[in-house]
Amino acid sequence: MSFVLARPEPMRAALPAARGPWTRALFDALQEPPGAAIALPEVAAIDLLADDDLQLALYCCYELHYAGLAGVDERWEWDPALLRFRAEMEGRFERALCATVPTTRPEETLNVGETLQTLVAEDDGPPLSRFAETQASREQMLEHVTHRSAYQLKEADPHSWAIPRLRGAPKAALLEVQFDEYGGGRAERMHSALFAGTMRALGLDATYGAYLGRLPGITLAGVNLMSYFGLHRRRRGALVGHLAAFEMTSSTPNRRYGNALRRLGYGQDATLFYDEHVEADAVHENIAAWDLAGGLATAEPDVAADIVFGARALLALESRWAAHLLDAWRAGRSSLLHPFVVSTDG
Amino acid sequence: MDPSDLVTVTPYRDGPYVIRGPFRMFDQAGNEIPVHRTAIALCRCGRSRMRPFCDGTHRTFSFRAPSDPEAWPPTDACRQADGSTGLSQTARRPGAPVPSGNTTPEASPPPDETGADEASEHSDDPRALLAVLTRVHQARAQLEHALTPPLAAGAYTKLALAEPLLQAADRLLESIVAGTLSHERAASHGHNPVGTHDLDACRAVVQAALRSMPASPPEDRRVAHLRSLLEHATEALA
Repeated sequence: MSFVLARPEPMRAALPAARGPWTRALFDALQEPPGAAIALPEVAAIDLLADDDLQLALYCCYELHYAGLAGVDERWEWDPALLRFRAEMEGRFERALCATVPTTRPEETLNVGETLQTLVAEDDGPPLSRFAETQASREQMLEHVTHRSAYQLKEADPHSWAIPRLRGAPKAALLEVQFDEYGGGRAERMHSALFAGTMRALGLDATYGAYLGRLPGITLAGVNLMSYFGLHRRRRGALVGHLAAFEMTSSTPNRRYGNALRRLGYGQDATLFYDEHVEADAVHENIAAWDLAGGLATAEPDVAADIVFGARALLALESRWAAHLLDAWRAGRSSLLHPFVVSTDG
Repeated sequence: MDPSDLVTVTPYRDGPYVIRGPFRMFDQAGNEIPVHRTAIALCRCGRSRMRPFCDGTHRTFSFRAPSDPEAWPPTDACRQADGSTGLSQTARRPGAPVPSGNTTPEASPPPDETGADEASEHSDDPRALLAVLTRVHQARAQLEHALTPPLAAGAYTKLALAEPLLQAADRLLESIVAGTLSHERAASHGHNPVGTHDLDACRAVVQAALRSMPASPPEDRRVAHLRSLLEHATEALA
């Protein structure tokens, strides 16, 4: 068929191995041209936010809207059967989020910029970046970067879904941040390109999606959260709140991750991504919290509560993800589904 | 010149100055400071490790500063508000020496206890309270600073035990500053006091943090010092 590529493009992730009923049903369907129904599996996920199977299936559904999937017919992106299948997973994801993230209190919507500052200041997630800076081994830093590749190789893309959905000052604020994320007009300064540089400097494969099969559900859930907010216009508030909280919790941890790589003997080719983020996000966090999130709450008071929800959802999932890494490392285990066998040639 | 072509400077609340260009930067010897982006953030709290640029460090010690100009000359009401800003300023020197004293907390009381006693006796006197808070803030800043640079794993593990204390100190400082000054600040700066903490809730957080510390005395004198100050401060608030 002419629309199936003979050779996978480098930018497209290949479908990894199925992990359970959700990925089996989806991946079987994606091998074929669209048209047939996708049977919904009858499973009750116990811990949905960390469900390796469902989160990978959802990630792959969303990937159809970003880069596409290698060998998969591009028409699947808007196939009604796939969208129904995705909606079922999203419903479960949304219910799990609502069970985890507290409802926004009315008084928290009065000054959203201030509320975000308070949320971030009170966030007591596990000290992953401090651990990395002071103790993490080379193998653990490779794992950390591998987890992050699920988002960072398409950094800023999920939040760009908000651009056509905003107007006026908040839109200008979002674009001020995004322009910088995309390298300020220089492709080689795009944050996704800087991250690929870090991966290569660490000896990792920077091919888009190369490690998808190794990533656990909790890692994929963090990216699915952005895609879910981004692909549903009604969640534009949550998407903006997510971006604001992301930027507000970025500068200091990125300095620590840069220090971690320096401590392990890596050079500037490895640390540039992190060093750049210390400086960039010190600018972005102010614009995102006050001009973007605060501005949107003023322009559209109806979505103010969802802005706060999006920020809380980010902090909650980041906290669970950090705990997953630290728990695994403290127990002497790999935090990936399939650990690397690390060579020592450095 | 079209006003929209002019460089803008925005002091963000509790954050840096954001400069939107186009502009160039030079040090005082005339050497150009390279600028890679159209908007930059300049350090306003003084504690950045890459001055003149902001690196987000202001978040780690609850730096406070309004976005709009502080009232000048000060009125009686906003002198208190200035006190909260000054509090952050006094504690911000990263290289400030650790107060001398014995390394075990119970061997001899910390040298700052007089300030704490003063507040215990006159806990409704905001100046005495501020004296206690300044000391807590200084101790907190020293401990935070000790935790930040790369450390040997052993030293880090020892100091990291103080993490609940650091968070408790933040809550205490924010709560008291907000609780005692929010009305004056709201009046003088038009700030919305929503989001300030209730003092009782704050006391509970501090006491929980103190309880969560290991029963054996902390070995690090900075940890011991901060713990001791927090205990005195919560007594002063009781």
